[in-house]
Amino acid sequence: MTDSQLIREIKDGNVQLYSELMLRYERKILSFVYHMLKGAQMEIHAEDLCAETFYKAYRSLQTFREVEASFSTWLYTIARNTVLSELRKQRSGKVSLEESGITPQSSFESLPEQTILRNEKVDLVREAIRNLPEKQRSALILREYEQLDYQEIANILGQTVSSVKSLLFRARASVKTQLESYFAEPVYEEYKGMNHR
Amino acid sequence: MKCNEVQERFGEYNDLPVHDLRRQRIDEHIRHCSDCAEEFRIWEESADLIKTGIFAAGALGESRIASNVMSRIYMDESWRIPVADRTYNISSKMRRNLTAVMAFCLTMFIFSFIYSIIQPGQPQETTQSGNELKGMFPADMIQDAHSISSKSSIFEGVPVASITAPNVLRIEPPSYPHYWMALSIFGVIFGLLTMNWLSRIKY
Ligand SMILES: [Zn+2]
Repeated sequence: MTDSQLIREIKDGNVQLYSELMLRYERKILSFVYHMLKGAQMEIHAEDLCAETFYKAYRSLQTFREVEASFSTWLYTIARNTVLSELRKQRSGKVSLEESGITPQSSFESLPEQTILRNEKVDLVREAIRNLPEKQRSALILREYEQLDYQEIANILGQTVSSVKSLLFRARASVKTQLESYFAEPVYEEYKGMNHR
Repeated sequence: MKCNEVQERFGEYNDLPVHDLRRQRIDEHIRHCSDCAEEFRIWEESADLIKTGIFAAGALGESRIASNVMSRIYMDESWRIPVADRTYNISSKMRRNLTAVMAFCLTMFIFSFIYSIIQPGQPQETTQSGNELKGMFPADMIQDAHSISSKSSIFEGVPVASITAPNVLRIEPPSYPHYWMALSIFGVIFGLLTMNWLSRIKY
């Protein structure tokens, strides 16, 4: 059954089919929500926000028009709005650096060197992406992690294709700048050496 | 192409198709310009690094998002719950009580049924009531029946009354066992209907 057939059935009252529709997009939306959240403390809410997205989508499914948007684009839009309103809510209780997941780990000695470097690298990249302005962050995540094309990203963000290109350029440039200090560090050279061995 | 022009395109390099002219120009330029080649290397490294930040949704294991959302929807719209699922939502206490009532009714039915079959003295009763019904039948017919039963001792007891019995039984008011039987059937039907009704509205 295609998405549109499923949606038609659900609109006609066959509600239990919504569960099947959710299973098709669960992983994508969860991954998007996870990347959009700022700070490790918030990442534990990814599942809740993903569920909230699907619930909102069900509530407004009657207004969804297949001709205007594909279901996945529509879902990403709802997910983005859900995350943004959550971030707005959380802004009052600021997430501190200690909570953001790049705390110096005390148990470094007990971990293999390569694992430490890898974890450190992942944390740095995530932090660099988190520091981006929201639109750049959304565009970068949708492009790099969700593999959407420019047009889809433009639809989700409500922008033109050319402004999506410019958002992506600025996002990548910013991430590159933030990681530059990391490239210069001797530990990075070491890491590269280990990878090439 | 100037160096700054080339460097401005590094951000979209990976999105360009392999045979795109712009991509080929960038490749051509960085082959000859060491500054841009270095800058391009950093762009590529950072693009690779971005990919390392990828979050595998599978890391969370079996997710319960879909089932959570479904139960939330059903909480809002309880009439949408499939009947098969709803039946299990009747509380076990309620189900036990209803089953007990129905079992009691069934037992009552069986006992009253057996009692109504083996009830002693029914044939005599019918002949007796036959006496009271004179006038409803042609006089000679009743007389005939009586003369047969009184004259010959062979017919004493059983089949004599059978001639008039079917007519007589139709008029006779139902005895207590019949009331119990009707009542118990009503009880069973009532129990089943209640269970069915509960399965539709209870959540
Ligand atoms: Zn150059």
